[in-house]
Amino acid sequence: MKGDSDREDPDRIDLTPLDPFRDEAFLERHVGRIRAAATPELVRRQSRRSLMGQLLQWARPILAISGCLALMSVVALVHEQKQAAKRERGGVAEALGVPSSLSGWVNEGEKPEAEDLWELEEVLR
Amino acid sequence: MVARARQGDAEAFNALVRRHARAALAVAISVLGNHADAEDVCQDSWVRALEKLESCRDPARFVYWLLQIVRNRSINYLEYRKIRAAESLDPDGEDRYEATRSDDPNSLERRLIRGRVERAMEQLHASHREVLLLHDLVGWGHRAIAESLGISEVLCRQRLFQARARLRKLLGEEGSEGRT
Repeated sequence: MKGDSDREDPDRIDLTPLDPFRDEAFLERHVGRIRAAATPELVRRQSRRSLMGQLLQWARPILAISGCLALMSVVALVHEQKQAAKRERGGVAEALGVPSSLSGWVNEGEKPEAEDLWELEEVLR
Repeated sequence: MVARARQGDAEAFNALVRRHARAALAVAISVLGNHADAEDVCQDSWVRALEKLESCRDPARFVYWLLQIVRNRSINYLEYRKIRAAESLDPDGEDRYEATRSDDPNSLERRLIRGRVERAMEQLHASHREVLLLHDLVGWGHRAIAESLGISEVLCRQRLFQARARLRKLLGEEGSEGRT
């Protein structure tokens, strides 16, 4: 019951003869008719819910996999770019007749060992 | 419960119907003045409400939202009925109502009382009838009725007072006519 209606209100008019719900069978019939009419919509809502659930269940793994793939792609691209730059530097040095070991030390900023220098000398001879 | 009904939960929907069926039917009767048509409109309104459940933004106010649907659809149906009556396309409309009434297991005396009250109720203005039915039949308070109709509580009390006075007068007149 909504609110403050007072069943003991002396002014209240007894309208129970108009109340079809006095009859329990009427209530059941009435609810049954409404339920039957509403069944297609309820079924539609249930199937939509299950479809949404399926999509959600799929969405999370797909998102995670997509994220991993994107990260791996970025790492691979960066690595490939570095390799390409290295190959390009090596290529120019070779074209100028600079031994690859020497250009390697220059590019990497490494200090050659004495043995390496002997080897290089032999190559240049 | 509204949230569950939105998900298609049949039990939640049934519970909503059971909880608010009386108020919905009272509003439909107040507009249509006919139990059989009111039942049809109520059924239609419940289905419509379920279809549009997402537009009920505040589930706590579900019943007011539902009653507005019932009210609108009852008014539409009333217009439709008037047109059909004018075109004489529905000669068996009242017969169907009588048929449902004759199925009623109530005693003859109770049916006579009901007939008297119904005839008197028909003389009331629809807005007064709705306040009277929601208050004296469904058991709602003035605050809820006022909120449902979008009127002040003072106006609600006033309508109830006038409706009761008019109904008593009508029932008294009919009673005295019946005795003479």
